[in-house]
Amino acid sequence: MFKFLKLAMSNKILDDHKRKGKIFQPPLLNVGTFVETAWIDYAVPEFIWILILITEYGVDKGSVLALEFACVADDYLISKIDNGSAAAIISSFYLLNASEKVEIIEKMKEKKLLAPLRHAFKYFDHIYPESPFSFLNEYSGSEKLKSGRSNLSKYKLMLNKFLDKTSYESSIVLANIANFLLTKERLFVTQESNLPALKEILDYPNTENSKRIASFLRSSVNMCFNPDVYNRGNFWITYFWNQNYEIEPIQL
Amino acid sequence: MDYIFLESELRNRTDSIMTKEMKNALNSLVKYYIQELRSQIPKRWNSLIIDLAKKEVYEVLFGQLARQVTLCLQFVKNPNCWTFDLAPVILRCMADNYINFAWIAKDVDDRSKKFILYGLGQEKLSFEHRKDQIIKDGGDPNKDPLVKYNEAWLNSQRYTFLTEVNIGSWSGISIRQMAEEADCIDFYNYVYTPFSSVAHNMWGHLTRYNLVVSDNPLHKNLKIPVINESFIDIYNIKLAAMYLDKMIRLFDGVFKIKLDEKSAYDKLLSEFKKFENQFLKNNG
Repeated sequence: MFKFLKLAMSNKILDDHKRKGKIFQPPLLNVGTFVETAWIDYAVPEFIWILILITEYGVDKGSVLALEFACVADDYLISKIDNGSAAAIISSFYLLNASEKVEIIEKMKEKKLLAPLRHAFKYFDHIYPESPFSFLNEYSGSEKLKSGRSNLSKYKLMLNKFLDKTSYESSIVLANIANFLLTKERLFVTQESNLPALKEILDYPNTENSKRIASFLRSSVNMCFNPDVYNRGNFWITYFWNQNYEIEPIQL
Repeated sequence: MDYIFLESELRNRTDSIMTKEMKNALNSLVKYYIQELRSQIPKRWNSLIIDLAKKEVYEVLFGQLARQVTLCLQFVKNPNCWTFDLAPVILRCMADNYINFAWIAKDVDDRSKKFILYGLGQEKLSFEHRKDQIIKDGGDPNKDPLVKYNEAWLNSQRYTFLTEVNIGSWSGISIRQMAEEADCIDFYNYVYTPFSSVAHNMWGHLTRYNLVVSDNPLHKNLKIPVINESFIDIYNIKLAAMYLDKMIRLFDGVFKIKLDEKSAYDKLLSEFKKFENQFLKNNG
């Protein structure tokens, strides 16, 4: 059987792949230090917070809120972690100490953005009591939600769209990450790249430009989860999925 | 559900036509066992706290167990498969599944992922061949619904442009080495290997079941082809049940599952014994 495979492959099949013994590696795996990101494993739990803000307040207002919050938190996080996208990654917030959390809350209050932030994450806190964002409501004195179940169907709908890396919602979230990195001058797009403007993503997937920018964003997100700068075994990503499962476990 | 046993096909070991009473008893035995089989996976799944950080482990090991139960269940309810022409093909498949499972069980985290990646690579290779054939036939693979479907299916698990294709064995070692490492070399020697002879249509099987020596001395003992009306052997049910039970016991060990009840296999043996005493003993 293997002789047949060898013969077939010597013609056309997989001829762009690099052969290493009995393994044919696709070209992309042979380029530099490319690391594949498991979207559902890492990106979904880490970026879900941005989608929550966008779902709650719409793309414009939600994106502004996400950027402001990430920029405020970034001042406290950037020295703690060797990952430029740290403030966009929810698990990084575990690194904050109590006084830093209070300072972030104060700064968001000054910007008059604390109340909408707290409101958006209320049921998120209920679903994930050990979320890195629980500090936002911890000092609020307001009554915690007794039940997040009424919001659960809305949350599941949102999560379902986010599981698809190519959905409109996922593309908007990715554009928010890119916008944060561009704002902090940690991502540069050269003139020669001929890449469409980031705002074109709003038309996704109806225009060619929006598809190009979405594709660029999807391939760029890998840098956030490179094992050299990101802990792929962190508590949050495990907790997030197991907590979800616990809410509605499968009984056969 | 009724099981239709054709009298012309359903015979016991001594080649006697089954009586109606015996047929009914066998039906009851099969129904009873099938009912037991259907509860095996749910009771195990429901007893576990699923850790989604190890999603692949649950997917692979439960998938293999579901495969073993399915093979056993369908084998048991299809008497036409209980012949020596067909039974070993299915039983060998069950043996293969068991050895893979036992090898994975030695290092579940790493080997589960390896098993999945190899499988996805094989899927990719398969549809690359199909695309190539469509091009050779003058068509456009991008318009082929099957190619589109397969590509989307594969991409939903791992992008095709990132999927490696391994044309060796999935584990990197032979099935014999896997059996050695998984402490089931006896099973390999006494089950997998002899049944492989049937599955691979080797000489040993052909001479026994598909050829017969001419009784004419002028023919130099020439073996001539024959299509036998093969007998079924209901003891093959016990073999399938045994190979499933072997996997279930190992499975329970991996997940530390303790169920305080008689196993489905033990229950089958009890019922089988009754059936045997009533219908088979007197027939020699």
